[in-house]
Amino acid sequence: MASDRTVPADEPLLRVEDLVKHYPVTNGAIRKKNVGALRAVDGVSFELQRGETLGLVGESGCGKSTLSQTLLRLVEPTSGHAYFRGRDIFAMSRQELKDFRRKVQIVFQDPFESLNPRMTIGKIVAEPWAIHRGIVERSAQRSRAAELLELVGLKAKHIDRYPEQFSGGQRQRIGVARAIALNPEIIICDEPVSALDVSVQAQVVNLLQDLQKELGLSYIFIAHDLAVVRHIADRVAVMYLGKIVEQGTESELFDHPRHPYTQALVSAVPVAKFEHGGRQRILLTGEVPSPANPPSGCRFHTRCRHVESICRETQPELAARGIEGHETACHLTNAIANDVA
Amino acid sequence: MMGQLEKPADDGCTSTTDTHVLDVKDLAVEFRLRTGVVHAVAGLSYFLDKGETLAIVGESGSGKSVAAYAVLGILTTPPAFVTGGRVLLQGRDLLAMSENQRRRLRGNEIAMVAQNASLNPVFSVGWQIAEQFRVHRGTPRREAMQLAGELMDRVGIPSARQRVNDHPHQFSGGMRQRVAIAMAMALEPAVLIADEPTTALDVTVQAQIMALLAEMQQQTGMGLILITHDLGLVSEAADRLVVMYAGRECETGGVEEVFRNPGHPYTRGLMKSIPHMDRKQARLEPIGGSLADLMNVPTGCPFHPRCPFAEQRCTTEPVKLQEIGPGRMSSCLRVNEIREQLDGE
Repeated sequence: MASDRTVPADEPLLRVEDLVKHYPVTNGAIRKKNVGALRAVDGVSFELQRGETLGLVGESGCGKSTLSQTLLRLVEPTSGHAYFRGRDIFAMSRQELKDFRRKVQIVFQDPFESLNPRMTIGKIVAEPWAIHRGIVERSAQRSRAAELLELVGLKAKHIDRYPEQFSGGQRQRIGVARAIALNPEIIICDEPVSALDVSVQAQVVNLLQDLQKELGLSYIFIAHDLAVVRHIADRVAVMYLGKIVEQGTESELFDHPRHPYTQALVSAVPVAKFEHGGRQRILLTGEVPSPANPPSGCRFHTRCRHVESICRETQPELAARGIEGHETACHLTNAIANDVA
Repeated sequence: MMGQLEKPADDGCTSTTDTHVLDVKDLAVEFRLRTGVVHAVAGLSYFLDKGETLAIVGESGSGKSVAAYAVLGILTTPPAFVTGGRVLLQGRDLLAMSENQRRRLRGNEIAMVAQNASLNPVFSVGWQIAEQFRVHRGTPRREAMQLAGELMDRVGIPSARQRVNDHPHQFSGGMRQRVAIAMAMALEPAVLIADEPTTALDVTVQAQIMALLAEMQQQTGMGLILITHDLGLVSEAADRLVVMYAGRECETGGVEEVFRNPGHPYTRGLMKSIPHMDRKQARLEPIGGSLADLMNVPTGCPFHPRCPFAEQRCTTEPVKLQEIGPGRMSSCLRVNEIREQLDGE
């Protein structure tokens, strides 16, 4: 990244401000008419510090994958800003964008579909160097690819094998090797272990943690498995219907969730009935409303057991409400009990 | 459809002195493929009592789902062949009876809920639930549809009676799973097999579905077989569990005892490799290596290449289940030495 500009010393690695991505909802087969907007991401702000892991949790359709695609500028945002080392990603020139994408890589969920079956794993890992030239000399590419394979726990002698000759966990390691080939600073991990068997998940989680320590990486770790997120994340943001409803440190958020949605989410994770005598479970009723037509006021009010009239009228801002660094978007944060355990 | 029996048990239909609602003994299933024979299930035994929840735990290729399909008699033959064993449903051997007899029992006495609610997209959900009553009970169409509406209401589908004529695509994943449960529960079977019933669902929806299954179980006293890879879910919902690896049974026992003191290195490895929700561990302890290749299952104990306790005889000696406590079995050859060693940990 060109550092020709002075960046304030306290500028985080990534700063997202009020990011919005709406998809048009159209009607009519030939003459498409815009009849509304699907508010996939609707005003999201957060920061990511160097070397930090931010966990992003939420259920299907909450906008977490759209958020990651928008951050990589794979889809253009409707409005808002995202600053990488102080430079606005959405205002970057072609060349700047290319540099930026070198610094931000992604690991996908499905290791069976994210690797080209017709390329050897050595070629897969070396492919980024064909796009971003000058990082590894062509003559050195093969040996560097072998090094990367060793780094992620594969055997260098398997460099000429094809993806189908590897198990799911090994394939995910190949995906990780490809992601670190360009010496990135941020890796977006979009459900990186969800498709893996439980006994193999831990291998990949440990690998990601080791690489973070060794290479000083920052992660945005998207997952629906709360226990995995708790294990790997330093801070966690919870999304519901396109908005962050709560964010805080991993221990604050999981031990003392303050937003009623987070409380329900955390309480839904199964716990051994013989260890805790069963946990008090908050069963949500109904379903997630459509992001094309979100509820007025607080988006969670239709399913919230604490709902009051203010919740139906005024949209709560994400703000620290009494606890430094622990933000909630709930009017009643201080009025409701904040322990579910 | 049904896996062909190589050695039909001649005393198949006579009842033994069992009290179990379902009793599976030495079940074996193989797939005969052009590239070789896959022993997907090699000697599985378990029982299920009334009102009880038994979890069958395993990863991909462990044989947990194949075993369930064999019990229901819905494997496709060829390539699948049930090569041995008995499946006693309330004393009657499902494997020894004709497909016609079996079909009468399926839905009526034993039913299944699959991972992705297997609904027919071209029929309304009400029609599909009503089919149970029409086919098995000969209930007239109008009455059957009414019963379907009542059932949908019972499984918590909002404005159920207005939605009986809706089609599956008009429902969310969680609601479709409720429809599938309504269909399976329609005739109040004695045994319900739930194959990863919540794996495709979000965690808050999973909580709803598990609560619904528990409620149904309480109302009807059915036995529930929960097939899953999710140990957290097992620890919360099951009474007993069977752990499978590469088509073989590793251990079985009460959930609390197995979780507190696993009797097989594989079970122990699984438990150490999953992160916990209530505290943050320094580091996970994964099981090394990859899952066993079913075309080429390791000799001796199939887990030995990944087992930290393996010694020479584990690679050659065939394993079999041995009793290690009241209601507890383990197939580990070194179980006694290992448990002593682990107690010192």
